[in-house]
Amino acid sequence: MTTLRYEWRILRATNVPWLVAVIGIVASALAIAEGLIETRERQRGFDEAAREQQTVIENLRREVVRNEQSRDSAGIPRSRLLPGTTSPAAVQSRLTNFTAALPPLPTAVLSQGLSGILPQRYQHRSGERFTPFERTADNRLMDGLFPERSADNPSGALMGDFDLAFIAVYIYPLLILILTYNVVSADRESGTLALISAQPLSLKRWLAARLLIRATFFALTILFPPVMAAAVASGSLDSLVRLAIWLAAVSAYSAFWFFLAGYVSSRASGPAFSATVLACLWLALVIVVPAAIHLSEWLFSIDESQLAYVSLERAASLEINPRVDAAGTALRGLLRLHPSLQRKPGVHEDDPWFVELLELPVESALLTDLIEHDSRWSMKMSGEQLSRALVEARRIHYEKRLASVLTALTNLEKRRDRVIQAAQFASPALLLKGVIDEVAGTGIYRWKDFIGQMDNYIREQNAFFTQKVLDRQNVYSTDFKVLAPFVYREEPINSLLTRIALPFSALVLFPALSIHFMRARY
Amino acid sequence: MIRAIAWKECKRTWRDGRFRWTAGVVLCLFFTSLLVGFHAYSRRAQAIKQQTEAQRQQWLHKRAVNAHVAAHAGTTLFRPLNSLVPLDPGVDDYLGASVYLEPHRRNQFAHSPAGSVSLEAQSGELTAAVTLQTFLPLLIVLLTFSAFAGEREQGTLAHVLSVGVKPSHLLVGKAIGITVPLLVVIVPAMVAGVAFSSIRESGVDTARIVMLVAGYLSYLFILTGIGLFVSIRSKSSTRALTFLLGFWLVTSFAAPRLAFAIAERYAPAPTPKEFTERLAQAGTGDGRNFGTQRAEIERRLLAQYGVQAATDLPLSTWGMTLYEREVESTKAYNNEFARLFDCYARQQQLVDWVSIAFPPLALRTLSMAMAGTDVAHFRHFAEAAEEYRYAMVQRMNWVAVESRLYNSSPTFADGPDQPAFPQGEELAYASVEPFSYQTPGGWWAISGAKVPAFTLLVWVGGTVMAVRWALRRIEVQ
Repeated sequence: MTTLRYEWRILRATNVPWLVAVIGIVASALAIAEGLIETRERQRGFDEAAREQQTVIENLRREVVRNEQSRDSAGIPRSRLLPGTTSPAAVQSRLTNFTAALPPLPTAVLSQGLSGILPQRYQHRSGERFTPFERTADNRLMDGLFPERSADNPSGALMGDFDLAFIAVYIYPLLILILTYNVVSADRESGTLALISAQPLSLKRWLAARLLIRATFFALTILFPPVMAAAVASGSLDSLVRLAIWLAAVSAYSAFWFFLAGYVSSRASGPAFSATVLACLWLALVIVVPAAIHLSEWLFSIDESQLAYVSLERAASLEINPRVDAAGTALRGLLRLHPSLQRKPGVHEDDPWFVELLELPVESALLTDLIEHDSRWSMKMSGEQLSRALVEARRIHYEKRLASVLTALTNLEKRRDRVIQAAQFASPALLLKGVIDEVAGTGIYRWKDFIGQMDNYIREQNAFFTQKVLDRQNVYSTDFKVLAPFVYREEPINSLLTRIALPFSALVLFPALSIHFMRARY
Repeated sequence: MIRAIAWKECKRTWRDGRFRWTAGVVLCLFFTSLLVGFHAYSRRAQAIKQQTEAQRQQWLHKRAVNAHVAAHAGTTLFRPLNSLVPLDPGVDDYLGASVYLEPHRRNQFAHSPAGSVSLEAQSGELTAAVTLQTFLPLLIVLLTFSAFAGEREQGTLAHVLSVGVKPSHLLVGKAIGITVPLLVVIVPAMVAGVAFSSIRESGVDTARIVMLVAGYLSYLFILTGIGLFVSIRSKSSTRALTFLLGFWLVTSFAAPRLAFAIAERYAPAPTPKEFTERLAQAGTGDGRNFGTQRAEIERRLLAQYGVQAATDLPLSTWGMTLYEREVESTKAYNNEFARLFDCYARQQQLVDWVSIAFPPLALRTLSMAMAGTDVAHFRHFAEAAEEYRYAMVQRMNWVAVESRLYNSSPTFADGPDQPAFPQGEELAYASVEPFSYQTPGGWWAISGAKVPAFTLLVWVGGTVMAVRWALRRIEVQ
């Protein structure tokens, strides 16, 4: 304790700790302000999207209820009249024109992660004919999804975000190095180390005290304030757990730099030498290794495969769309020839004309695929069913046509990700960045989960309306139990913990190894 | 005297293990990044060429019920790579690789390489430019920090000056002694960089290369000058090193991010949602629906041609409506994109002014401009792509106009009055020329990077003056 007290006196007598504290606090405050602005903007985008979809569903539900309550002159409920505003096609076209947004977590202020690069909102437009398909996370295709692409300056993206993750990964180690680079080497150069060695105090304890006092100062002035501020702002238990992980990860990372600086300083002949070595180590671990890993991406030719995918997707589109067009024209011709296939005003669901089916001689090849894929369909269809069948057939044809190239591309990406994920253990900076992005909810996994959930939602909605068409039913108020708005379901915290367990353990291992190395060599 | 000092400094530098190691690592990183960059560039350029040809064939050999539907089938343009991309990829990875061209709307570029990069690799890039802009300064710091401060600490500075050596001669000798070993690193790197860039394309712009080399050499000069200035003014070599390392870290790593964060607040770009809404608004034009506008056009054409019925018109009112609506929507879309690019330009202007205080930022901007990988070059390409889209769509619309399609039908669904492709379908598609793009010349690039070039020039002058000022106040103890 006495040693700690003396060390604190020595440390505070210099300007260095105050300079470090001011730089750290100002940088963190700027980064938090930047993060808050970004997060608020994203939250607003999410709220608006959720509100709009909720309003559409509520208006539709009211309309359906109104139709159920009112009757026409023949006493038939209007909800059963055809064509009505509550037919599956009419409801779907209104309901599935929505915007799905990934909500920011309260901890998003910790890191902007990939939120500036990957779209955070998607517009879904049903019935859009010339929609380029977007791939989903699990190698499926989504029809009618339009990402709201970032309109940010690409130069800004190149430079990177000035967020708390940048401060933690890049700036904290530098502040630690400024505090610690001369912790032993200055005494060696000035000759006071020999004097200290002559005192009844082991050098290990002396060095430990010096590092401890600096680490405590660093933690109290720089590390804790942003976490405390975020904890007060967030409130929820989930956020507190995430903040605790952030704090633990950044503490482990900082500890590693303290030990590294202590070790290098204790081995260096003078402060200039230790500063040089530490600057080079910082450069190597924070800049060069991550950049070299980035460089290794070229091995996998993902870009070229993506370009090929774009071309193949266009080819598939050129092949399928004229066929669907031709089928549509044939369908219109058929409806003219067989008016009984069409719905007429004033007719209700149980009218016999509606269930009259006809062997349709249009685009049988297109429909064969659909019937093979989904046993609910047969070659006998009503006009409305045929319209629907063509939409389904188009999607299935696309998926079939692009399956091989998508599988190849996905396998390539998986192989790339495996290599890159293994390589990240070479740099504590990369490990910390990965953990922080996960905790902040701005990493790749949460985004992929969002895409997957959105895909499932759209498919469920499609399946629901397809079944309605197959059953020749309108939409009723009871159906609104199923027709809920899209809401992103947050993954349980356990999944997050499981996923980051390995990188987090490795992050803790870095300072542990440093201590072991120091004890062995000091 | 200067030659003797320079020779001694050269030998000292060359024998210095720190220099050999650091120079070796910098060169190794430079050549690795250059080779990988060149290889990736060649592969991507090849893929772009292949897919561009595939798109052309798709365009020429498709089938459509009419010319406007053919325009809807559209085509995809792939952004070509500048030959200096292996040296400095700039924002290239953050731009969409392709854009889908279709009627009624101007799409944003999609499929950026950065969007497909794995999470772990998002933390930074290793390119030839990054090596020269970030790692080389560290080497210069290590060479210069003790040039005067070290001699002062050892007491040799007083001795050297006492035997009649002029401080200015000592400075020039030391500067040459430091610069020559550095040039041993830089010159092969530059030569290799330029050679690699010229392998694939013979027409590499000389003005760009000259400006690029001049920019990097100025930066080398500035850093050497700053290193010597700090070394002259510092009481100890430790203090000099600490200051120089701090300067390097702040100017190379923190300042660029902070500058762009400030610029994005100064001239905020629209959020993705806002921009999507603006584009959607642009797509709706003045709000008139198709039928109303078609009726107006029909009245106008009937008066113009002096006929009573639409079926007597030599043109299709349906096609004409599409044609005129495309003019309006294109104008509206172009206004929105111009606003966006103007916003980027304002942000860049601010960063340019901030870079007056941070020479690495100025060098970075200049390097990207000369390599053709900055936002200004992207805007130039995006506008060329849009011009092509407009010409393609309007050519198809004009075929629809000439076909007199749907003149007898207010719903344009009754079938054609004339063949949908009066001159034949294939000829109609072939009449749309393939897209060709010429990167703007070097002087265009230089005119867009005046402020960073001027900044580097001012820093060169300022460094000379600062060193001369420091020399007059040199302290031997």
